[in-house]
Amino acid sequence: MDKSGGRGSILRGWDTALKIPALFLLMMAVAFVREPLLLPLLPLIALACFLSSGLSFHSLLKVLRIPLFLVLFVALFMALFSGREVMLALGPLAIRKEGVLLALGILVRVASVMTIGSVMTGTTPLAGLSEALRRMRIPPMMVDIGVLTGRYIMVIGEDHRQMAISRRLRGYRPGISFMKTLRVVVPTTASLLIRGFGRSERVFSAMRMRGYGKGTRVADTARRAFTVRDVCLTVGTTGAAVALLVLEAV
Amino acid sequence: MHIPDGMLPGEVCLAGFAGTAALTWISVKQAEKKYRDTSRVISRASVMAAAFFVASWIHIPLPPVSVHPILAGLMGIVLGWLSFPAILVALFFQAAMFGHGGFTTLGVNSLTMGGSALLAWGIFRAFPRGSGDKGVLQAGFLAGFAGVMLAAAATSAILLLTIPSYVDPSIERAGILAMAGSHIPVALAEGVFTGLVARLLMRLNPGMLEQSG
Repeated sequence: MDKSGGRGSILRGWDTALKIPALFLLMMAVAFVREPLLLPLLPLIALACFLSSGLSFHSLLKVLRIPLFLVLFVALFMALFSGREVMLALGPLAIRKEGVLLALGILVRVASVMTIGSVMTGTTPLAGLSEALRRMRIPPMMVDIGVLTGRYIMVIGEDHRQMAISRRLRGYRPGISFMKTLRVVVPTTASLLIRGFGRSERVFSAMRMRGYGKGTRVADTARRAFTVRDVCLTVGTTGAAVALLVLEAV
Repeated sequence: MHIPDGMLPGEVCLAGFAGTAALTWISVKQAEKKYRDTSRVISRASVMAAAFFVASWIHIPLPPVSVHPILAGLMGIVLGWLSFPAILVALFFQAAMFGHGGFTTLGVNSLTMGGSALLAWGIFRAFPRGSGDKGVLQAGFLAGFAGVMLAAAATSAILLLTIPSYVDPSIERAGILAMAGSHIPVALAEGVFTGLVARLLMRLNPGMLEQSG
């Protein structure tokens, strides 16, 4: 997303080991909200998070644009086929009140949760994320798989970029017919997978030589003390999440 | 195919995480039993997850649109049990890097995609294959086709069944069928693609397919 990563913002400075669970809890709490009276609170909470992140509005729009198609499809389905009280009749189609309320609820929740999620990932570098996941007692094997995957996406992505340049130099143009494309992309995909398979064997040998799993870890993490700001942000965010859950239950 | 954040009720998201945790645990234990070494499980799952992640950037024209392979079936037949944790990690990166899918729906999306990969692997293994390329092509086609259709059907069913009341059940059923049906051309294309890639892998590096079994 945003290349600045919200540098210098309040959320960027928030300790990742506290930020991830607190913002995740907030996202889950927003996902739980069904009460129409609570819906106006959700964009306000999301906006507060976004304004504290230092991320650009353009980067947020880029992320929100992606699921829009699916969300609009579901919203339209709800408005047309859900409920009894007709608000507007358009020939054989009728827009119903209950459906519109449900559709609005979905749109508000999607936009709010995705904004908080964008803020969470946009202000957290990958290295910080893996360190936080270890400190949160996520099984080390899954964290190590995540860290290595992140590293090799870059490496294999570069292989893929070079293959694409080679294909273009040999006269391949994307957008040709399905069968012609298959003749090119099938060997490309097989090549990526075979290279990946060979690379995984080399990574395995390197891990064995470094004594992985025998008392050492890919990256040992240093614990640092939480600041007053970390604690205040965590208490505030967790408090907002709990308040939403309590209000929804009441 | 990925359900974004905020679409599903919180209870469904939590159930998705519980199911994903259980299937991840089972998959990793099965893989450890097979590879007899944690380092091999980690290196294989992570590097291949990255390779599949990058392979999904390739676009194939399917007029009037262009689609990218979903690769659930191919991941199943190459990675076997490891396809589930690999898909979980790949979905996490897709959510973090591109906003595809979501964090609260990561569990549900992993179950639909990863579960489809495991079932596609089962179909690939169970398909009675004759000798040579033709059998791999047919089994690969079925696995690729099933991987997309199972994931599409599961995603459509979850989306429409978690919609609150008021929706006419017959319209709900029609909606599920329409959403799943719209994926048939994509599933056919994915089936052809998976079959051809599986056949090529069998010719160039048969160990890659054999080791998933």
